[in-house]
Amino acid sequence: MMRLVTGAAGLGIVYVLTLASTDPVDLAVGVLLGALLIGLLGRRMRLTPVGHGLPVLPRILWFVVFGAVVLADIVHGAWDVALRVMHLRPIERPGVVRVPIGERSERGIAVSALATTLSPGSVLVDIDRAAGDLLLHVIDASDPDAVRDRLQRFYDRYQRRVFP
Amino acid sequence: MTAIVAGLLTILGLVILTIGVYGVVRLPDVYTQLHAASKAGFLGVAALLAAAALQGGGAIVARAVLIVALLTVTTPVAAHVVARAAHRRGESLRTPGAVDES
Repeated sequence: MMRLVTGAAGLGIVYVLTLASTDPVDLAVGVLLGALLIGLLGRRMRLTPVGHGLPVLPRILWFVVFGAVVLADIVHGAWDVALRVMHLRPIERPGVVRVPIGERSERGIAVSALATTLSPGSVLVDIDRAAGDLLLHVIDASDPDAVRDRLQRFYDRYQRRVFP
Repeated sequence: MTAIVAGLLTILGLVILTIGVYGVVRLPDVYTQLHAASKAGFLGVAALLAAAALQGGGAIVARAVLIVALLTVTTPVAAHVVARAAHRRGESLRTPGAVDES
C-alpha cells in the first residue's frame, strides 16, 4: 500500500511538472492517473521492495548526502575528462576494470551502475553474474585496485545507507 | 545580475558541448568516446536549461527540472547500452597500454 501511495505521488509530481501547473486539481488528477497506472502495470513492471527494512527518515537524509556526493563526482569527473580531451592531461591507460558486486542488492547494482556511469570517466560495460563482477570502463585504469577501492568506499560510506 | 549568470551558464553549456564533440573526434575508441559524448550532452544541456530556468518563469523552471531529472536517468542507460553492445561485438580497446580485465 505504501509503495502504491509513494509511487502515485511521484507520478503525480511528474504530471504537474510536465504541465508546469501549481493547481492542486492537476496534482490530484496526476496522483489518480499514477495510481491507475501502477494498479494496471505494477505486476508487469515487477516493482521490488526498496530499503530492506531501513528506516525511512535516515534514508531520506542520507539520500541528500548521496546526491551531493554524486554531483561532486560528476563535476570532478567532467573536469578530468575535459582536461584529457583538451590535451592538458594524458590519456595513458584507460580500460575495463572488474569491480566486485559484493553485498549489493539488485537495486543497489542498478544505483551503483547509474551513479558511476553518470559521472564522466566511468561507464558500466556489462555485468558478469557468474563471477559476481561489474565490468566498468574507466578513463584512468592505471591502478585497477585503486578504482575498486574508491567504488567500494563510495558504496560503504554513502550508498549502503540509501540503496544497499 | 541574473542575466549575467544566465549568460555565463549558456557559455558554459556551449563549451561543454563543444568539448564533448571534440572528444568524439579525438579519443581513440568507442569506450573512451562515450566518456566525452554522453556525459557532455547531459552536462551541457543541464547548463543551458539552468540558464533558461534563471530567466524564465515557473513553467520554464518546472520543465527544466523535469528534463534534467529524465536526462539523469536516461543518459547513463544510453551510455551503458552502447558500451555493452560494443563489448559484446568484440570492439577492441585501441589505446596503447589499455587495461582489459574483461
